[in-house]
Amino acid sequence: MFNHRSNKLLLLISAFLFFSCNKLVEIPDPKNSLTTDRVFNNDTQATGAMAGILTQMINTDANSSFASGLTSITARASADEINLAFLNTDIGDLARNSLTAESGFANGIWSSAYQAIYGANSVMEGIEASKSVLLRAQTRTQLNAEAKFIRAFSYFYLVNCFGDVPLLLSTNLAENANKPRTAAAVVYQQIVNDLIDAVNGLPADYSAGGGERIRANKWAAKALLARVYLYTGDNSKAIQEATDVIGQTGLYQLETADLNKVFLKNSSETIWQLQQNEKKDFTGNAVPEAVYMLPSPLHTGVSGDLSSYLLKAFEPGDLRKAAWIDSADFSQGGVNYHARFIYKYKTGRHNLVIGGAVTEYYMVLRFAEMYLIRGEAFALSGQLSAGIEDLNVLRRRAAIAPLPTTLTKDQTLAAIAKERQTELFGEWGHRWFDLKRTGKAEQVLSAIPAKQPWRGNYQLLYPIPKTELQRDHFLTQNPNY
Amino acid sequence: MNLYSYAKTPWRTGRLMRKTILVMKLIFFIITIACVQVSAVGYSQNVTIQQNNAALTSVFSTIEKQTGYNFFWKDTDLSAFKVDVKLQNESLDNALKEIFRGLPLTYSITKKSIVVQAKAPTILEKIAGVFKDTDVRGHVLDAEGLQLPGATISVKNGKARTITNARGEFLLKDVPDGAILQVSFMGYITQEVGIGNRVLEIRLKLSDSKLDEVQVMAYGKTSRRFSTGNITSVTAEEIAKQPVMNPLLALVGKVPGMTVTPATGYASGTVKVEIRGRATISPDYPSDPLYVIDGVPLTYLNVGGTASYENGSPGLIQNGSYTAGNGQSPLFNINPLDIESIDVLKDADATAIYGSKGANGVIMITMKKGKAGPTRINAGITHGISRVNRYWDMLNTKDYVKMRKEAFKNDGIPLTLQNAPDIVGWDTTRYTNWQKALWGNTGHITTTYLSISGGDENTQFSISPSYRRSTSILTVSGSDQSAGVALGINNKAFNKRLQTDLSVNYTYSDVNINSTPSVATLPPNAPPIYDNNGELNYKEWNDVGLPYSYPFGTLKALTTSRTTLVASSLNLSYELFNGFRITSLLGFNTSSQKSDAKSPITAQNPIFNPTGALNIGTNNNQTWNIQPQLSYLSTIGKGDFSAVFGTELSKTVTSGQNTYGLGYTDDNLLGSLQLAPTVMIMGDTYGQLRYAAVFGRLNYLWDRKYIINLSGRRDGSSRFGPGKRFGNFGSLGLAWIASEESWVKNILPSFIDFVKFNGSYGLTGSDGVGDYQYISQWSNINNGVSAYPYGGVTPLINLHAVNPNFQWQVNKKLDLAVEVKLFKDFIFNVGYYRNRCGNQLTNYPTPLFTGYATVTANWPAVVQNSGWDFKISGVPVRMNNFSWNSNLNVSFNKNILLSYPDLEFSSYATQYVVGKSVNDTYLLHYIGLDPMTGQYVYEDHNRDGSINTNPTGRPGAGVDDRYIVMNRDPKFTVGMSNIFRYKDLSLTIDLYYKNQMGISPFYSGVPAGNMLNIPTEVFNNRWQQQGQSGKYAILTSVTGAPSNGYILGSDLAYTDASFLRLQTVSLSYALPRKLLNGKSLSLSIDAQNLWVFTRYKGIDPDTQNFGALPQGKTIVAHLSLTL
Repeated sequence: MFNHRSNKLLLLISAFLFFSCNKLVEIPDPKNSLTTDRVFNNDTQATGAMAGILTQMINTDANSSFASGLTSITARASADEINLAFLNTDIGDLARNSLTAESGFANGIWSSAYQAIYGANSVMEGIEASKSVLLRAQTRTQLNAEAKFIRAFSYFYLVNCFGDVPLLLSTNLAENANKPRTAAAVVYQQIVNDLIDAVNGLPADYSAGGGERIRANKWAAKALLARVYLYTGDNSKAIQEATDVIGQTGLYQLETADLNKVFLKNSSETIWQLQQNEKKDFTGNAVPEAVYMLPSPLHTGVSGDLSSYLLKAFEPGDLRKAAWIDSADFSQGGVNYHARFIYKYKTGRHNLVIGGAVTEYYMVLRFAEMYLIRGEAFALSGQLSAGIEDLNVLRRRAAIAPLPTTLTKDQTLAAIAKERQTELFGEWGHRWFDLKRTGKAEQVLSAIPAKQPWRGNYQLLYPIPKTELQRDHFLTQNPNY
Repeated sequence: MNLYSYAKTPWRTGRLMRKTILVMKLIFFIITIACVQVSAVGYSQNVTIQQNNAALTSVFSTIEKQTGYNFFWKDTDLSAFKVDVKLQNESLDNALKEIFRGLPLTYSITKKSIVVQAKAPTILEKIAGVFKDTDVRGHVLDAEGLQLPGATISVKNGKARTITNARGEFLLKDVPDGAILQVSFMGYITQEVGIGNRVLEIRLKLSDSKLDEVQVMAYGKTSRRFSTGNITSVTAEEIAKQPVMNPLLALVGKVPGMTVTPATGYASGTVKVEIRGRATISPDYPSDPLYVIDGVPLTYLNVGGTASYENGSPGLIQNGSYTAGNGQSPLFNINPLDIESIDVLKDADATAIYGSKGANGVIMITMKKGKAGPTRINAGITHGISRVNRYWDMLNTKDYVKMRKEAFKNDGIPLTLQNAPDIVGWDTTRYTNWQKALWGNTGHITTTYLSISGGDENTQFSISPSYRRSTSILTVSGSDQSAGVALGINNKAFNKRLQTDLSVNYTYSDVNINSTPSVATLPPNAPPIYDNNGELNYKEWNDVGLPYSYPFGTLKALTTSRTTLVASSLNLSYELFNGFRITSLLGFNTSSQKSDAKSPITAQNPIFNPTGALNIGTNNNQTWNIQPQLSYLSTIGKGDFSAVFGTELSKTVTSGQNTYGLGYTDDNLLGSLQLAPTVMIMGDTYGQLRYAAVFGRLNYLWDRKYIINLSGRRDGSSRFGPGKRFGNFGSLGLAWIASEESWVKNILPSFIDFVKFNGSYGLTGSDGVGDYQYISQWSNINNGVSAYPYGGVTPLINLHAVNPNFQWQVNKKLDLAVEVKLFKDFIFNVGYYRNRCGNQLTNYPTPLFTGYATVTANWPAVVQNSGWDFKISGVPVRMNNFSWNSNLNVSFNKNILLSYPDLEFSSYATQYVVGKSVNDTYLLHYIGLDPMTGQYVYEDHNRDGSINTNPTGRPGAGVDDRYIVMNRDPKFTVGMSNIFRYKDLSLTIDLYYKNQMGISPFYSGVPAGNMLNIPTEVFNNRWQQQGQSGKYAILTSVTGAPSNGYILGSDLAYTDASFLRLQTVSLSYALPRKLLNGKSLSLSIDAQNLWVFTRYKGIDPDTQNFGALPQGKTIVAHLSLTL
């Protein structure tokens, strides 16, 4: 009897267990997070994924994301824009031309740019995999194009900082984990392809950002494309793309009345800005880079110090120098200093308010650059007067004398280089990239006393982060590190 | 009616039938008793008979002849009765008495007739009478006279064996006359009894042998004698003597192979527990064992905190401010005095039945239960103090100033306010001993408890409310309080077949913590903490240009944490038939915790125009757990057989929030988030874990000699992706009690009376990877950092890299042990173990360009821990009034990375070397002080002309000069506990020795001479002039002195940190019971961490935590009264 009954019982229990075991260890999806298929189930969530990429780019401390200040900070030091004083060791290495494989300051550019690339790839994949009708075709096209824009944008800075870099076009870990480096030219080709797709897929207005210029549109893609064509020597296409943007007079105008308005949010000179969140701790309503850049208190605090090379480059009466540079007096270790700092953004550590009203966003693509790109491309392709005319648009705005159209090609190019230096100083590594792409880097930088001894041009590329080499054995270090 | 015909019905005919018959028989007897009990009246007529082994009937006929009386009997076959009669002229009355003595018959005399009938039976005889006279029946009672289920009764040198049922009853069949029964039960002395009249009442006596102490194991109990696994038990008595707030701290030194290290000196802080070494190479997974309270696992997920191997799990505080105590230990909420025993399960045999959860060992906590008897009240109060044990010997102001000036002189730098604010700006005659100023307080500890318990045979209860309060040795902190009640109700019903055990443990704790500033190195002439108004003295620091350096801000930033914990278990069990029970264990644990961390304006430097902040963290944890089980206890052949088969379902949900209120302009508003200008949710953590398992254990003990223990579990965990969720685990344990073999007994010297060999091998698993790692997750909060909306859109961020294919980590455990008992009182146990943990689950490092730094994955690396445990327990002295009980354990563990395929291609290439411990670090070799420069000099091991360390390269490879291997794991530990008893006085002395290397207190990353105080040892032995040899480098005011940077990466920074700790001293006196009329009153003085003997010069050689709040010594007086 015992056997009989208990056998039945055991059978029942085992049946119960073996048929329902899998059910029993299934857990519902996590409550505080969404799975990929839910994210790309509708327009709102999918747009949230894009917002996720952008917020990671900008809402971080200036020295941790390539897109919140790090590119500017490192490239300023690598170029000839700032003095060595008051810099911490890592950034001091950049300024001293004494980078080693261990120097870590540039590592953040690498990881944050690839983080954005991962985000872009996962948005593209998520859209492709989604069968949901709630994710509308229009949203799919726009987000896909925006993701390609972000990917191109990120690779542009990777290539310019590190040279050849692994080119990843998916999030598949098994595929990506052992990538070797891809030739910079191939990466550039991918950048161009992505930007062309972005131009075709992005809206021509700022509707995506609700009227604010904080999401890339067609003209942002064209503006970056113009820059890429200039960098890769495709002058006619650079002229074409820049002209397209310059032609959008309904959207874009140089701020002529007051240079202090250039960096305000949604200024008419804005092609694309990144919007910092005013509630973020430490940075509040200030642009993260400005928090890093501006001294506190404003005129007596310690901060960076602009180099004499930059200061000397300004012609007398240049309004930009007055509007975009300020000074602070302070003493440290018993020595008195008179330091000059970049004052393009007016809200910084000294006056930020967490949760306060925002007046400035982080300028990424600026209309003035279009004249510089087109002018240079004109000059390079022999159309000197057209080039000088573009240059004079900016010179007039800065209240310095227009250049005569009689300049030689070399004189024109030199004038353009100087104009880029004084217009775009401190912004997004322009000066450093310009020195490198125009072949002037060694000549200019090796003459700087602080960078002595000049250890060689290899420092024009940053070292690949050391841990990456350990984790991927197909990766190689840049030479001489 | 023919009784015999029924009684002869075979046993197996059917239970129901038998039962009916039994009932009918009982009714018959009762009626008979009522009807025929007529008292006999004797006749004075004499009888003379002398017959041996005579048939009763023939005796009757003799009497009939001699007296003229006639015998009658009905329904009773008297032919079987044989009697020996020797009567000489006895009265009939006496003669009948004599003849019927011992017979189950009664007689009555009516006129000249003597009616013979079956005797009115006693309860036992009623039962016995219905069976064959070859049966033996009876019941077994425990030491307190209560029926004892599960006791084994066997015939000595015979085959018959059985086990008592729920009421302690047994039936043994076919027992020959004159047989001897052996009755045994775990924890009791095996008793031999004659079968006498075949109806027995056997009362067992408790064994006082250590071998028979009951040990709690998974889903059952065992004893040291019969266990096949490695279990160490710590009793209530041992725990009660230690004045600790957290019961885990009472285990220090008690369990060989287990290290218990509090993370900080805070009473509520987390405790890192590691059993038998580090099994996992991942630095992210804690080594915490599984805690099981009354059969219910105490599970909580690490969802928000910073769990790591180094710090363990943050426990109950995972959101909000948990930095000071590193979190909160869940066991802080269990009153040590409510615990009956703690059993630590280490090997596969003991833990494999917990499958996935058992890989790091299991700690079984059994709460006290009520006992039958009149209601007992036990009340107690302890009160005591705690103080810091040791202080650093730091410079006084005079020497400090001298030190600083010398440093500047060495550097050739003039002192200015900028470079030497402490000397130029501050009063150089002022002196504060900062350690005493902050840690000099006397902490107070008070515990009051009451326990009311009692009940009858069927129902017992126990209610134990308690309240504990401790104030810290920090001069400013508030108090930790904990109040709780432990409830226990046990009931047996339906003929004791149904057994209901409920235990509920409720506690509420209120912890107040200030983070301690690191004060040991503060200049001794630094300004006082408070200014004249009692406000924090920022001003004097600001005045000398050190606005960021004032260290005491945290003293006004209090963190309070309030926790409610309910741990409950309900065990329902029903005995379907003899030995076969169906059991359902239902467990529910819940904890909820809220912490407030305030950062008031007054705690911040006024020159920065600060605003207040409030951080509120909440943490909730719920676990339900259902474990239906079938168990069977029986005898097969000459052996005892037990089996457990069960399933377990459990679900744990851990969640919490971390909310910040920012921008308060007035400290009075800090009480509420509602009043904050800005509120931000910094974390909303959630994790769910489900388990489903089938498990079983078979145990067979043959002839008290051979034991086989087989256990297995199929475990499913929601932490793995579909298709990877289930894993199989199991173990085989074997034991041979050699001393039970007669041939062994003949060989063994007489002083050895017990020898057991046992061993086990098995697999356990672990899944400690966190939840949801196999699916892609998107959220707007990443790693506790809120992602801010962009353009008004709530952002979604992909949280981690996804690998759907990771699987169980498997730990293969081998154990071998010998246990010998000799000279009656000494037990030696030597054990060897080897645990190999493979298929390592790791946060496998991936290149950052893939998007993430790590991905959860298995790696076929194998980490091996092997070692030896030695245990000796005994009674060296046992006299009438005096005894000395002693326990000693010694354990060694060796950790090595056994294999790691492709190690050189992994990111661990810089960290691990195959064949070396995973806790090894590689160091430069220090060769001495340069007598010319006074700088530290290191060996240029590869002779390339320069000293290099390359923390990102393989140690000792390329330019790297590191070759010294340093391992801070204990080489061995020794725990010893002693109890000396003299009459009613007893003295307990527990010692703990740990042999280990540690970080020397005399070297720091900042060279001596900077604006930090230094130990006098460094000052007195510093290098001062050329040609001088010294122990410590030249003083310098410069931060990055050339050779100082390597100190912490060289063997110079390490020193012997072995210590002998006087862990517990307890002197107690119990008033003689005679005086108190059975009541008891005892008084004791208990001290914890009373003294540390060590050559290590720091504050605590066990934690070596520079600057952190040290563990104090505690002394309490304890009064306990039992009514």
